[in-house]
Amino acid sequence: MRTKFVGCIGVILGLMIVSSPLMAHHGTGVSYDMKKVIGLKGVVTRFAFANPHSQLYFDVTDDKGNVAHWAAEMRAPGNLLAEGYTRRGLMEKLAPGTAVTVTGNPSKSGAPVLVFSKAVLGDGYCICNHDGGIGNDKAADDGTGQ
Amino acid sequence: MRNRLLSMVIPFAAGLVLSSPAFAQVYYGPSSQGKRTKEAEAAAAAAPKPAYDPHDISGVWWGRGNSFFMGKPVGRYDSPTISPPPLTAWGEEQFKAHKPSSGPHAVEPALGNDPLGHCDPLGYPRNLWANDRPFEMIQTPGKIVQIFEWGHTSREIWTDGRKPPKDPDPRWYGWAVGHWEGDTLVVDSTGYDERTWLDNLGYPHSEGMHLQERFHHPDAMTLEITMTLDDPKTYVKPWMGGKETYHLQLPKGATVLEEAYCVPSEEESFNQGVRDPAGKGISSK
Repeated sequence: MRTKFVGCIGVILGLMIVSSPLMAHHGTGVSYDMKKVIGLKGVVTRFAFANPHSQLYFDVTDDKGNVAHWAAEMRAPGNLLAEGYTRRGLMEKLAPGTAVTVTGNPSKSGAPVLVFSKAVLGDGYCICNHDGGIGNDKAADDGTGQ
Repeated sequence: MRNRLLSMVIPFAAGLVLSSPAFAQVYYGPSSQGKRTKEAEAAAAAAPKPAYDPHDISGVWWGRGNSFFMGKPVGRYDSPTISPPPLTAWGEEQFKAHKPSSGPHAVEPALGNDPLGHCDPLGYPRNLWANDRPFEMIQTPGKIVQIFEWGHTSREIWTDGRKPPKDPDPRWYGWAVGHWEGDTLVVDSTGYDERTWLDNLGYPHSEGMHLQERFHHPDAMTLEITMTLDDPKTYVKPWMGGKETYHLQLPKGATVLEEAYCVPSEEESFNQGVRDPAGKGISSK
């Protein structure tokens, strides 16, 4: 029991350490509700592989046909490269018109912007972050802070 | 007969060379923001440690766990516990004018004025810590060139015995000269442009800032930097930084910094499309 507790604390501390420097860049920690996780189904309009953060823009259409233009703040190109993704590969996977389910932490302002956790394509391909930091899919998956 | 032998040996040798791991991928990214590809990790694990020379600080260095601030110790990024010396009246005025997006005085980025938010040069020492990125030291007989991954920019540390310029026009990265005291490289620098911040919290400095850094290389894999900032116009007494520890990124010679430019047009696009709408109005909530 004690080991399990220590393990949990270790994971939480680890996430704090790994995620805190990344969150603070450009005020990410200020602007988003990192305790809330949302998922959206949409269609990609643009992907930018760029510093300081890559960006995924996508449209979400509701039941009444209203379209909301969403933006997701992704990780820096260096982080994506270190995860094994490439600019060319992501540009192909996230080409305009691609159906996508995006998970992330919404903005505090209420604007249609979120911090990216992951994007799952129609064929099941996942653009995920495999450890802590901005868009930590583990945090989203295990429901921490929801 | 000789030609026949050669024709057999050359393809064999070429095959050996091309199939060796070193040629499977000719360069590897270093740890940056705590991450490295699996291929780079494997290459680093297989690479030999370089021979130890206390005066050879060349290579790519990354500082896991280092502060992003001038002072130590620090807590979490958004709630640091640094203890800078008291600011002078002028220093206080500058500090209040700075609107960072992290730390206890954080404002929503759209209302902030962090030079980082517009790809302005971060200058030194801020770029040493910027975004948890590595740097590279290239050592020549007369100077050391320090290249920072963020912005892919550099500064020179002259080690040929010259004196720093007297009353120079300020520069983003100042003027630095270094000399060895035993096994410690002592770097003195002046002539800094006061538009740069010391850190992500917005701590200021003046054009009169004098930095002294002590680089110590206790073993082949480790580089330690201790910094003292003396700026009487801004702080009532010198600010002693904590010891920062950096780790050599292997394979040495095959580890290459990422081309992490801050591109103004891309930054503007990010600010308009993501950063500003995400934070807009939250200060008043």
